[in-house]
Amino acid sequence: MLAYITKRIAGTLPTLFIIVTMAFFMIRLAPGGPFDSERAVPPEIAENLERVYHLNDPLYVQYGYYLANILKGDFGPSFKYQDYTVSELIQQGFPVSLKLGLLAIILALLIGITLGATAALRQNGLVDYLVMTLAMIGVAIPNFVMAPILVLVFAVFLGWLPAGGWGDLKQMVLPVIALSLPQIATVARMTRASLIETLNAPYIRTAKAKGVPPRILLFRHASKATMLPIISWLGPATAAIITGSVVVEQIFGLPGIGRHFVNGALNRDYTLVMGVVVFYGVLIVVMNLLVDLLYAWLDPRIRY
Amino acid sequence: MTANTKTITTSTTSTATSKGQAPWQKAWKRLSHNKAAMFSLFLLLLIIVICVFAPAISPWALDDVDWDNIGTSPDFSSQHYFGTDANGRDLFVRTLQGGRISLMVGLLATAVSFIIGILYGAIAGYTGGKTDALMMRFVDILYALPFMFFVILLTVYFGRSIWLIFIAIGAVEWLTMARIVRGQSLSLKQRAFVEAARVTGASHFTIIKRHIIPNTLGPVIVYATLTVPQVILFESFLSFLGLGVQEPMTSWGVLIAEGAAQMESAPWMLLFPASFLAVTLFCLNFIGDGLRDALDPKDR
Repeated sequence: MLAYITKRIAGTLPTLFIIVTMAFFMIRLAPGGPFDSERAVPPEIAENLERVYHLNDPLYVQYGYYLANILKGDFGPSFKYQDYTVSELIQQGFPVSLKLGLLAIILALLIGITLGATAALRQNGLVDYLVMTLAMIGVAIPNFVMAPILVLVFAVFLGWLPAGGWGDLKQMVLPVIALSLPQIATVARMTRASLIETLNAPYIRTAKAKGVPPRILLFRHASKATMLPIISWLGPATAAIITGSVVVEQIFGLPGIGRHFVNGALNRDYTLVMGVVVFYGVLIVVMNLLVDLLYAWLDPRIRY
Repeated sequence: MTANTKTITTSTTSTATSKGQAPWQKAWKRLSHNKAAMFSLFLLLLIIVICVFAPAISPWALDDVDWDNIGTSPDFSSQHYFGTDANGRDLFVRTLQGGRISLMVGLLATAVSFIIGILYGAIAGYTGGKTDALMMRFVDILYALPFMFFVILLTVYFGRSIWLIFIAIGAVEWLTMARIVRGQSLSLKQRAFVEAARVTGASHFTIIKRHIIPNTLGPVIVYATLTVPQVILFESFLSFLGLGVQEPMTSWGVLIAEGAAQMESAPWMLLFPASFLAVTLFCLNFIGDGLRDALDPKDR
């Protein structure tokens, strides 16, 4: 196991390196320097600034400073927000995005597994077709279409829930549902396929022949093998949830990282956008690593 | 397209009684029995035909402003079949023109990823050994990158243009294609017919072109069909955020964003582009699933 862990960690290092390096060189490619604004800075001051920020050093020295700063969690000042550094903006937005994302994943697991298992146990029955049709709709309708429709129905027409804002429980319902719907559909489809396959496995047939009651068969014998694909889903799901939260935060006006990111992209706030890319990039890579390790721990075939 | 379809159907029925059937004919026969896939194919062709030809029958152009009908609901007497937007532009024409862009991005970017993926995968799989290991390691690394964010980063630096979207999507979507083709070619190169070709003195290039690539096409076509909706979604996502297709051009993502902003006063602005997008995505997913069932070698 230890050898496997070392190998997998070593495997993610090039990815992390590429993310950070790509981000660094992209900011170098940015047209115009940080002092090219309408009001000219006196050359002496510009020189001082360039010295402090190492702008006159060779590229590899700048790259070194940049790496060192990122390791310290410092992404530099924002280009557009006067009083904030990029790290402060990320720190401010992350709790919101994290809460939103975690709730969406939990909801997706709860509802998705229940629906998928129900469908699998009634394979080719009415319930099965119904659940799979709903899952197809969930997969095909993107959340930037679903979210406005949810707002229209539940906030505007019915008036049950607020259309935006963040803080109390009621305000969280719609964004979490909008974010998790495609994931619920994915989990339901995966659970169904996985459970059907597991229930057809020889060891389940043996258990059934020995007279194991159906409930124990399902929860003790079949559950672990069924859960394996869903564990590996958690990796891509993190990326999907993060991408989705960019849209959902925008639609519901939530003060998360996603909204900073889109506003940063629209305002050409280079450092902010780059900081978020590096932050989320590292987060996704680390999540994938954790999921892989968890998977290997559960399924010894992977380790050897 | 329909003429082509007809010839295939007739040839299938005429050879049905004889002994052998070409794999592609069998696959087509299986597909034509799949009602959901055939209906989706029909619906998709209809959407394409409407998007290409129908804007011509409307008296309005993409950015004509009808000052008498600003933000009006669908109305046949003024020939605004889908109503107008907040600027008085005809939504029927805009939805269909947007559809052209969305579909074009979907098809072209898939084609780009198709070509890169097949070539890369076939070369890696056929060459094998260290080259293969190195090439696939590179794919693994790229796979782990959060591309959506890099694309947005690119739009910040290079401005927002439709060409950037092509390049970005092409750069992302070829990875899975390359993996599929590589896996296939690894097993194909061990087969007797490849050995026979090598014995007769065929060059590596010829073998890849004549024997490896044609034999990987089944799964690749299935994956390509499932890539098109992903690409359309990707483009709509960027456009929805205002980072994709820019005025005066439009796409379904742009229209959905405009519709979402106005949905309380003008729900039709969201309804029409959103339904076009959703139906197109449905159709492509059903066709892809149908093709997978029809071409899956497990059933042969």
